[in-house]
Amino acid sequence: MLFDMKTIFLSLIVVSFLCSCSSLADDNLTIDDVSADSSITRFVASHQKSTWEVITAFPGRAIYFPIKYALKGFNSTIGWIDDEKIVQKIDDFLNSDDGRRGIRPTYSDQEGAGIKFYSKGLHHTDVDRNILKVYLSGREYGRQRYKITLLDFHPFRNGIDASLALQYRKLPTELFFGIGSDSKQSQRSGVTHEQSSAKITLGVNPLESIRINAVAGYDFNYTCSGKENNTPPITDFYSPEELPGLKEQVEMTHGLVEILFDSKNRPGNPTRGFDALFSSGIYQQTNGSEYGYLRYSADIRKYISLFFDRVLVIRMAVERNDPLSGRNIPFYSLAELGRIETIRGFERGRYRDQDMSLATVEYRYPVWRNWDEHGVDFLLFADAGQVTSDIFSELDTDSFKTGLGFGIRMWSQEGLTFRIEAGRSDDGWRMYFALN
Amino acid sequence: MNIKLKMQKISIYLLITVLSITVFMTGCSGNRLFIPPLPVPDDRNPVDKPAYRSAPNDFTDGFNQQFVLQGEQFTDLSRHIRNAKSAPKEAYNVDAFGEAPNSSWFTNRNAHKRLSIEEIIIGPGTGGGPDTSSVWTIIQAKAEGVTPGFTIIDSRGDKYVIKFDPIGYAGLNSGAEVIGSKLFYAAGYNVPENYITHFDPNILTLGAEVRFLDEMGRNRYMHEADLMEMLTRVDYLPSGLIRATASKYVPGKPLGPFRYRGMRKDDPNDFIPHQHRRELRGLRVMAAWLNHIDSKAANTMDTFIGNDGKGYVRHYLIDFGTILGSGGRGPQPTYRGYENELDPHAILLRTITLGLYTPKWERLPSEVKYPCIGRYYSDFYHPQKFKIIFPNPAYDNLTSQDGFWGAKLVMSFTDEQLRAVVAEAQYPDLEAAEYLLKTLIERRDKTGRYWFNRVNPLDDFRLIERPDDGSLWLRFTDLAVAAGLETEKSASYRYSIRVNGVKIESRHEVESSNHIPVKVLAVNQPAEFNNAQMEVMIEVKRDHQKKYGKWVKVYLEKTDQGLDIIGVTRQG
Repeated sequence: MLFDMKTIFLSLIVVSFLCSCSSLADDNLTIDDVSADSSITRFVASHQKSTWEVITAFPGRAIYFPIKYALKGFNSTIGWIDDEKIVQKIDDFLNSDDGRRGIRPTYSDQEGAGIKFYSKGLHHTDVDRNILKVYLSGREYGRQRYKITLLDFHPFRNGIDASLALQYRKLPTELFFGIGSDSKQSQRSGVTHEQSSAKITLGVNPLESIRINAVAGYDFNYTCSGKENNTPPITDFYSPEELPGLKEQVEMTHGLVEILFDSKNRPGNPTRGFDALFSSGIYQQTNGSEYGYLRYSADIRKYISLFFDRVLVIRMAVERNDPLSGRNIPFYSLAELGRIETIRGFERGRYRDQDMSLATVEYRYPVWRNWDEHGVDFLLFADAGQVTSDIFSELDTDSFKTGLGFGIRMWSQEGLTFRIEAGRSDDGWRMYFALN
Repeated sequence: MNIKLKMQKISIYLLITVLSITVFMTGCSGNRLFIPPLPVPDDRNPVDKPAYRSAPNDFTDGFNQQFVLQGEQFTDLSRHIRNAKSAPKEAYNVDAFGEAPNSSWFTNRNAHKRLSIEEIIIGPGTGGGPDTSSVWTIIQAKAEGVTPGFTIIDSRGDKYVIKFDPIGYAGLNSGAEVIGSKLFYAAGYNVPENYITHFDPNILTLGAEVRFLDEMGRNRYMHEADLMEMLTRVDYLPSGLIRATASKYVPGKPLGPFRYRGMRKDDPNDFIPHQHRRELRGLRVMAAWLNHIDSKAANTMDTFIGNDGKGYVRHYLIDFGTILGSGGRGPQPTYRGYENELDPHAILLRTITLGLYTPKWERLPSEVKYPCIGRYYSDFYHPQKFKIIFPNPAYDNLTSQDGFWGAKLVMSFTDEQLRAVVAEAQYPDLEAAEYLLKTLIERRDKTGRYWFNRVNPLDDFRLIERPDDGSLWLRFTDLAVAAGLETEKSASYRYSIRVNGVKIESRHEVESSNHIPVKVLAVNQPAEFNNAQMEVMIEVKRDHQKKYGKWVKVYLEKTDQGLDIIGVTRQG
């Protein structure tokens, strides 16, 4: 090797020494630099650094020299980006001046990295209506999602609004551990889930904080072995006969009624109020008669302001899937625990069964604020939940799965910008990251 | 192994020896006589015009102050040794009495000789503001940010920067601008003339080829439509007029901002590092009082005063739109003045205490009671704990001496002066104006109380002749008593006298009084004390204090002409 570490280190010390010597004179003007005015010359000379200062300041300066110039280099880069208005130009290129159209980067563990394009106020003066959103995202192993949503259209004059969502997603790295709350990590297997779906929603707001939706949807599903390396395919453990929905094309339609309450004081970092979603619906197979079930779910979050923007978030969620007589539920439609939205610390799809119950306590406190327009909160959380085949007869708090952890979330006035969380469960630590 | 161990031991001994010698060298002061510092040379000598330099980028400036500079200060061992010895580097431009002489930076005004109410109202003003009876020609504009702004030329040919209040906050920025310029001027700083103006928008005319920074930050030509759009983003009075601040262009040729650190290499008059200038260090005390949280290079301006290419650089503080309760685009956020914008200490403290640590500012009301005042409180105000958006190197070097000097500026303002200045802001809400006045007074008094407790507040020393026996007495003013912060009755003073380093009198108690005579014993002994130097050390104790506080030493020299006070030093 031309330069070994020792040479580089010694060179750094020499450079640091030379530069520190010159930078020591930062505070002092040499007498030659000033005018010939003798009073100024004498005055400047009287304020030169004393020898002991030069000696004692040297080690610190020498040590700090490389750090200082690394920071300065970083600073200059940031300054150049700001001076050249690079971010503004990119933003200008990607987003329209009036804020009606734009592109945002996105990331989630399940969908991967991608972009979100939005166009607000399509053929309408009100930018909060007629919103088009297009999502494109993907990650390794061919994981991909394409989604188009048309939101808040008003086809009728009676205040009912309509939304439409079309989605295709291929998830070749989904995991399956078996059914029931005693599923083992050793049963970990990979599954590919391919889904195309369409959903139309008609909604009305009878009160400011209440919304009622009627949803009709269709989806096409297909599952086969997973593609992730080092994860045995699901077919090594189960045959299509044993696991309903495996290696089978299943077309389902559904009809749902949703009631949403939202009394949060602000969307990005609510400190008071609550939001809740109650949903009830029927799912039926259209290309056969093997699958059909009723689904009831409730998801309630209460935001309690403790003191000075310290917030306690309490969440309770339950889901019940009740097979129609003589029919089954595809395994991928079962209730699930083990995602960032459920028990943090477990892998996605860690526990599946017909019913699910979940409780979460999250304590958020601010660590940084900028004009109350942006902020960073730190959070501590505890999640607990259970999957059961019958929530009414088998619910047992002693066998609840738990996850504990912490995280950071950055918010803006519009909503959550990103979150990084780390959860610890019986299965170990897991990190989560989400953007926009 | 043994050699390695020995080398390690030798290194440690060597380090300890070097440190010990250093500390010893720095600590050797002995019983020396007072040597007055060299007089500060005038910095208004005719020199060539320095080059223009633009304002530093806000991001880089902030990052530099918050991280690069803080790291540099942290790793400077000599700084830590000085601080540990309570002997920080004092400001360079001070005379033997700890005062900053007049310069291109500062002119001693209210604290030196109290300004009349008329003088303080006029402030830096030379006229009555722009002529609103005739056309204003826009020659420059900016639309970015929440509030737009113009540069205009009025019918008299004077140039003004016109700045507006945020919508819904009439008086917020404009009031702060006017109050700031008058108070900083009266304190001694160079500031622009700021006026409240009410103008008819119809007098605005777009000049030829006006460059314009639009909302997207693009520099382009401005059109009538842009002007119309900008005027939709300002508040109108019921009369149809618009209230704004008119800030007159400062005299001289602009040279860009000055930095709070280092010197301007192309200006031979700039021979004192800015972070070691008394008026910039002491500015922190004024800034704390007035909640001037944005003391950065971009809010300063150098101009070249002179003709035929020869002159000197004058240094201005500009832009007071973000002082008091104004945040520029609305009221200040509650944390301003208490934390830096990106405050590593506060972030770390909140994180590790799991949010249980609640800084005092969090207890301030979040709602704004007076929209024209914004968030300006005296509750929880602490003169020393005040923080600006990004650290300022001159403020970081503030010593007790600088703080005392700054406090004298602050305490020089009387209630009547402040009332007159607040009235000049023409606030639309009289109750709000009263609140602001009350808060200014409360914060002023807190400032004085803090610094006059921390540093001996005896000042204004003079020799007087006693009428009965003709002997000389040293008199002083107790600034804390003079300001009404303490009572005469609560104060006890004691003094010690040394002549040529020899103790003559020790710890004599003096009667409590606003002006206390201290008898100078050596005066009538000319034979052995000719050319002798006398040191009178005075200490103060208040009734609420258990022991005497810090000393002030007054130095007198007996010459053929008589006895002179040659200097004053204070314990830091």
